Amino acid sequence: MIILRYAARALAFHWRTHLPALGFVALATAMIAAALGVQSSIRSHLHDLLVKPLGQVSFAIATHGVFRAELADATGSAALALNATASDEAGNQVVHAILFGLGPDAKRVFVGWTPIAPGEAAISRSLAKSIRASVGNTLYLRAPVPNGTPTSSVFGHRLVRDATVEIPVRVARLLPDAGIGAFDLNPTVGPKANIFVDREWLCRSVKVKGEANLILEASTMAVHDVLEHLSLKDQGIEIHRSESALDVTCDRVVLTAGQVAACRRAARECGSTAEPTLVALAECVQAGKRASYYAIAEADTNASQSSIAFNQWIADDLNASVGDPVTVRLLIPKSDGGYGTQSISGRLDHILGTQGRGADPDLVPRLAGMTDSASVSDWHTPFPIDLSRVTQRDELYWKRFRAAPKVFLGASIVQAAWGGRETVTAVRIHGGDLNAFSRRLVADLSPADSMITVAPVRRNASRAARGSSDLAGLILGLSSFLLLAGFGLAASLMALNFQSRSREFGLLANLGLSPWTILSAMGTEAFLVSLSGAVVGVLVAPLFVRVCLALFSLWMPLSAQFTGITAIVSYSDLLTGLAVGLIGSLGSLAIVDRAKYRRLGARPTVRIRAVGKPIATALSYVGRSIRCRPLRFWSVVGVVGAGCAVLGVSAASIGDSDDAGLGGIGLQMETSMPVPVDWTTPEGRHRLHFDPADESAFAGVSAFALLRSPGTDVSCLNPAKPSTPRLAAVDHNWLDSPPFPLNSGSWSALRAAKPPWPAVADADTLEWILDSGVGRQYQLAQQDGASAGLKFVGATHGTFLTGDILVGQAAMREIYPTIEAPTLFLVKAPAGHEAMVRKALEANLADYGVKVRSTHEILAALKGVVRAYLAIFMAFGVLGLTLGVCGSSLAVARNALERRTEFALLLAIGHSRSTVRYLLAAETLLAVLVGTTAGLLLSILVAILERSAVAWLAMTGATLAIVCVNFFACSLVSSYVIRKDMLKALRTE
Amino acid sequence: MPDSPTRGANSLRVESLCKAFGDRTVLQDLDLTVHRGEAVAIVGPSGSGKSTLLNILGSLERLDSGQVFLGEIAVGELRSRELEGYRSQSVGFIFQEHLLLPHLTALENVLTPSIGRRERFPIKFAKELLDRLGMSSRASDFPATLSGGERQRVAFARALIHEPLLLLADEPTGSLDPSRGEDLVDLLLAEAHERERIVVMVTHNLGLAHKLDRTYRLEHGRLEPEES
Repeated sequence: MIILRYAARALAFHWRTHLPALGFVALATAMIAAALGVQSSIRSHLHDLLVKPLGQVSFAIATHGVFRAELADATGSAALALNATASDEAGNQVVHAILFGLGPDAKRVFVGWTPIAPGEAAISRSLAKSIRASVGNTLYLRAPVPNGTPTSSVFGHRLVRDATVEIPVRVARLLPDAGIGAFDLNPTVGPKANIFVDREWLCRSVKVKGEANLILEASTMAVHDVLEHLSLKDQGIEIHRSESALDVTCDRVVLTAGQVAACRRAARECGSTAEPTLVALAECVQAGKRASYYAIAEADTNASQSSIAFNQWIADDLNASVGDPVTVRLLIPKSDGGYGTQSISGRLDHILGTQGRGADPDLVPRLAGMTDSASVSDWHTPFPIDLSRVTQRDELYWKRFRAAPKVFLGASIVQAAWGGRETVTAVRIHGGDLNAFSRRLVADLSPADSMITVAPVRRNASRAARGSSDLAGLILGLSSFLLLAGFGLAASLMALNFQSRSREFGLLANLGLSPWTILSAMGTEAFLVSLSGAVVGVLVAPLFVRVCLALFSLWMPLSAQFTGITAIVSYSDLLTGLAVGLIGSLGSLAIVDRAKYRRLGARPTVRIRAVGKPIATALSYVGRSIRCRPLRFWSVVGVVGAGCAVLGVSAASIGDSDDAGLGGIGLQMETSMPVPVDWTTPEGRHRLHFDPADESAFAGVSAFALLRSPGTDVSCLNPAKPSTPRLAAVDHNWLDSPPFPLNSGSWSALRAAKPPWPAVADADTLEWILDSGVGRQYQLAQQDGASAGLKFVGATHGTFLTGDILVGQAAMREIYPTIEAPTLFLVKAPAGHEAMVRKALEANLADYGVKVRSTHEILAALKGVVRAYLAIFMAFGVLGLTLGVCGSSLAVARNALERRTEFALLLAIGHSRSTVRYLLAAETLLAVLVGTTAGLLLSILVAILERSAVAWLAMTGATLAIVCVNFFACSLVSSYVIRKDMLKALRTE
Repeated sequence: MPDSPTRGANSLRVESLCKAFGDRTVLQDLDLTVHRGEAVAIVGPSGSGKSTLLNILGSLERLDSGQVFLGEIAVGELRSRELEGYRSQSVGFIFQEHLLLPHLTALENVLTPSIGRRERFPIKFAKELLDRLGMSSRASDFPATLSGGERQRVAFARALIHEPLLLLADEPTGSLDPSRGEDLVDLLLAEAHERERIVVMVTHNLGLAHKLDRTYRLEHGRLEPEES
């Protein structure tokens, strides 16, 4: 008879004892395959949410300015994309909406797209639902004017009504939340507020000429084609030729560092000189008793910091001569929305003639509301103007020389008018071969220099769709006890089976079979049991996947994101589960029973020693019995102990207080538009036109204002992998008095001014989502494919602010230079006033697209995720415990069955039935108590290491329940086994 | 140990004992009397009911009808708790397969009947028993290291630890070689003659049976004296 046949025959004969083992293997295998299946299902779902809506789009070429209309029309897939807020007639508002102006050829990348009429909009169903809009309703969209002057300068409009336009549209179409309705260049899960309008019409509405700021392409070839056709105008560069020089300016007012560097390179190649320059507004220029108002001042980089020069025009106005004492008062923007001044006094250094540099309007970039005005009196500026101070001479100058600077100062003075930052508004090129300069600049200027980005959106979305966490690993971790119980019990039962058949194997050895042959027979039998169990496991795995997905949907705070998930279990998931189940089962058996295999066929030896007095008490009898049969005892201990540990660890994790992690901050406010004015001051609120009746609500209110970058939420509430994590920059107020402590490190490290940029994140986010840690470097991927080096210098724990990586302002300015004003505010309000403050903020900052949430709610949602995982952990733990109770009961029952002869003998020599029951019960109770103690100690150790508060009541209750249930179940089973006719066991001998 | 109420009695009496398993009658109107100080053997073919008779005498099996008296005690009328006392005080059983507990030493196996009881058998007495049976040097050894004959002697000592009146031996020499078997039978005889116990031994071996005081043959459910 071959070994396989022998093993199959033995399996068939002992099927009753093998069946529970098979069941346990099946359960563990099903769990493993299900974990992989859940991951596959959620990844597939995320793919549908994040990648499919992209249509044919693989790349997005974006600019912070605008592309030429000709380029936009040539590509056919250009769009004007703007952040917007959408309101209905009743004032209901949706913030963080994206307004897309699409051209007629958009169907090239959006299959099935049909153009929309001017004045009409197609909106996503999520947006329609949020705002209760339907076809035919009118929505009011508020969007920023592209190419606005930076708000950090005196020329920038800081109030939203000046920096944005309101556009009414009629809802013509509702788009399903799949496809273009869910289109998002930034892969995030959640409802999308998308609005699609006609691009030409949108350009007219926001006052740009038929242009675009986004080009969507499907292939790298198409991207290269676009990049090759970029002109200087597309990159925002304008070159003006004067008599002896060229002036290079930018339509975004400020040239980037890359553009300035390219100008220098091109100038060098042409043998020319490049002079970066900067302009500001001189509110007043005085010389003696005479004054002139509202003159443009220019920074002269060649001049000393204290140098003051005039052109001839203003020198004549003020009757000033070289050497006269003069004072120049520059207008400086203040944080409360108002304006202050910064003065410089000194002696007039020199006077330039009203030609060349002395009267060059091209040194001044296009300033909307100023340079396009016909007269000074027509200026529409963010700063107040006293028109009574504008003279006829001023108007005459304007007519002849427009905004040409009249005053020339040292660079650092002028930079103060731009927030102290190193800024360039023009580069003057003179000398050398000026004719060749443009050509050289085209060659030297790269799109990145002009902040034209090429974002690999499909790649980013695919990465995000892999999920923020290793779900398979997570589920396996959550169900670890279940797996342990499953494999452990299967192995124990198979080992007990083989143990009870040691006479059979001994007989085989006596008949001449080698130990290897006998081992092979046992191993083949074990393999058949394990294989059968694993096969059953993979067959029921799809059911387990559905159960796991149902648990996630039920308990996760953002369960809406998990609705509609299709349970997917691929063949590879099943095969992996099968293989791991098989290996786990056989491996467990090998560990459990390895000693037995070695002694197979050998004369049995007694391994224990009897020392001291002979045993006389029932307890000492129990102790001796345990020492001789350790496997049964420790099986029960292991199962009970692991169960206690699971519930104990859960109790420890639940014990944390909800209020920890708020940092005294009651509200979190997010705005769609930057708020460059400090609304926490009365002056700021006045400038923002807050309702005076709300002033009292802000008594005692303070706030941290954080700059926030585009990117994805890195908290556990985002199931997608954050491919471009979001940054938030804290200011000096935060660093001086941080609201949250750090687990390690110091907040002051964020003051560093060079890379790798120091950063702080939530400890769990660092570990589970970013796969990093304190002290480690991290490459921050940006949406355009570039990256910045960060180094984590500290971690917070348990705060509500987990969705952003926190950096210093220097880092934010370097990584995202266009972000100038905060959009995230953490508000501290006096106790009991939060609702009032919230209402006032929502009412007064509505135009900025405001969303205010209670930090309690945010923290509860975050803790809800943790609690959901804990709940799932406990659900699996309870299932595992149930298995454990079944398993330990089986082990005890088996123990009692195999010892029937022993117990019958005890009865035969005069012991009572109650003595026998007592012996069995004592052994069971001892195992349960040892297991419970071990489990409790382990969970207390975990609580100490995690520095968690422990829910003692819950833990005590759970422990008592485990002890009672286990003991009751085992006693019930063993009592059943010790029946009246036990003495018959002696007869069969 | 308190005095056994049966110590004053002087015989084992079986009257009209009947036992059937289903339709098969194993014992039929069986009568037997064994006096104190006597050793009797019961022989018969396999399946004749010898072990059944012994189990009934030792209260390991219930009789269908008839009665068994040990002294004045009617064994058949004892309730479960009373049976436990009967077995622990009055009966010593030696099984064919010795049935030693593998996790206890030889000495501990001898003392097994008193484990967990308030009144314990003196260890000295247990050692004396082992010494009497030539096992004093193996008192601390486990059954796995003992030979078949040594195990049977330990089982013998266990059966004597509580000084029972009635000693029942179910084929005690079944797994022993002839000389060891004879030694064991001599021990049984000594217990009967010297210590005035009532000894009933079941055996296949006619030679050993005839060494005892009387021999009976159990066949077709009936017990008849066997001529030596």
